[in-house]
Amino acid sequence: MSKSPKLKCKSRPILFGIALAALLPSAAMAQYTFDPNNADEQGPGIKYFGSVKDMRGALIPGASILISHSFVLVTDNQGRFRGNVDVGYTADKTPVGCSKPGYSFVRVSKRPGPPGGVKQTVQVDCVLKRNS
Amino acid sequence: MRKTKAALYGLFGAFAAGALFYALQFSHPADSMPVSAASAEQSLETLRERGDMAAQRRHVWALLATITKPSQNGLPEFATWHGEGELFGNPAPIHPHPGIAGFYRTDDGTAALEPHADVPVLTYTLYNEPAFQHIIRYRLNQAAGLERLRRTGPADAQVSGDRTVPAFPADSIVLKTVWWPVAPDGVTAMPVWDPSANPALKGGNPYTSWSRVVGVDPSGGGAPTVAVDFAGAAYPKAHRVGLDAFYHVRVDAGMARRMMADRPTAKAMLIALGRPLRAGDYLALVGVNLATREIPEWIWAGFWWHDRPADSMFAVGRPDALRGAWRNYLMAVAFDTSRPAAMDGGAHIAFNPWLEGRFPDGGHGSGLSSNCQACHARASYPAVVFLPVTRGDPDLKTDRAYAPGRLRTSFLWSLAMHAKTE
Repeated sequence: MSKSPKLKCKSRPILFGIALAALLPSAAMAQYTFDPNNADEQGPGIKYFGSVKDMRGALIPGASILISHSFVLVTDNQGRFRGNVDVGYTADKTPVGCSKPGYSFVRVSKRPGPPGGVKQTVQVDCVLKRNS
Repeated sequence: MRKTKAALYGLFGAFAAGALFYALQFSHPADSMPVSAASAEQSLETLRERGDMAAQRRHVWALLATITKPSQNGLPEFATWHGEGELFGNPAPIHPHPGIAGFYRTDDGTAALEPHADVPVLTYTLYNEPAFQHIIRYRLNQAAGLERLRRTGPADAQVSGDRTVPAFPADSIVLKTVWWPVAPDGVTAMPVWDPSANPALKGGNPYTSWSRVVGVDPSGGGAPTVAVDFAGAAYPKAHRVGLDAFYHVRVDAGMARRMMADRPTAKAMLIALGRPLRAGDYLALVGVNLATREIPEWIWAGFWWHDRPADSMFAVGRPDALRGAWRNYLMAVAFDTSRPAAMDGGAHIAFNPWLEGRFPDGGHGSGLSSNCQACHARASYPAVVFLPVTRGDPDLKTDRAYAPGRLRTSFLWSLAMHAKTE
């Protein structure tokens, strides 16, 4: 009888660890952060990143983010995206949009990253509405 | 005396063996081609020199009619050919299937990199038996085979200081096929290329920028127009077309799995369908780039689907021998990098909107002024970047693709870019 509470006591940190481990990847995926040691960050170009959500705030996987209609990124399973676009397609002069079959466009917000950074960034967040 | 004789015999034997080895390794089939093949090549060369576009188009339409004729198993001839996976898959597929049904592409090392914001489309390259066997025979699908030829292969006749792969047989054909996914239920939007409605963009004209779409409806019924959305734009009156307007195939579970494992293809599926490809979906053939080794520079043609296929300069010369869905494809042809002159007076243009339309303007024009042959002339090992678009005759002095010490890969980028390193 005395083994059960002991086991329970030991299992708590294990369960906490498992839960934390499960959360960490999604937390890491949730928001783009610049990592100078990442080989992907070394090349030229502008980093576009952000998310696509529905009207209730749920993230939408498999949506296309259209950057000047010449470049496309797609959202991952968490409804987020990031990727490189050629130099010159800066936030101020580049139209952006998003789409997904079965959804209608609602709005998009575009926010350039801080100037002077190692890598130019543009955050794009988009909202779509599921067609009835 | 006996020793001298033996040494002489030995020397002769070694020389003969060496000569035989060289002949087997580097003999150019074109050098010993039958008289009929040689005269066929000569007459095609005449069409090239004259820039006889009408005759060039007749020849290529006839080729399309030949390769789309039903084979013994009922599939079009080209659908029985070897897929790129058989040559470049690493590891090679255990039970390869012909045509698009055998789609198999292994990681080329770029999947781990940050995604570039490109606009990919589903492509798959097919090789007819002569082309396939030639590649296997000379190990042209392996980096080690190409490297050996780069060091010891025959000298290239055109590019000083370069060597070349052994000449392909004249009946070699390579096809790059382009496919658009169509959901079995509902209507799937699909872009259509209208030249006059799509002026050249500096960043290229990928299909997400095209001005018009059609709605592909496998049900085959409904009103002539349908409302669809694509790439952030609404098309309230898109032309509704049936699936039978295309050459098409049904996707099985294996195809869907293998295609979704290929990063560019998976992205293309998400752009078109908004979801992964799955069993029961269809693939509609929307484009084909064809290359035949009937002349040393190969004959090049691009075909693309259109919903008004009779109403275009790219329909000229389409023969009655083409039936059914094959009449819905338009065509551009290149026998030469320069001749005949384009409408702007510059070097000849021949491009496929699905494949080359997306190329940006790197200083000599975008993909809309490209020429298949001019681009593929640069194909060489080790691979170089195939952009920017160049126009007209090659720049042998400054283009890195023509630097001394390289191996010309007989106009085939696939050898230079996808040779296995194992």
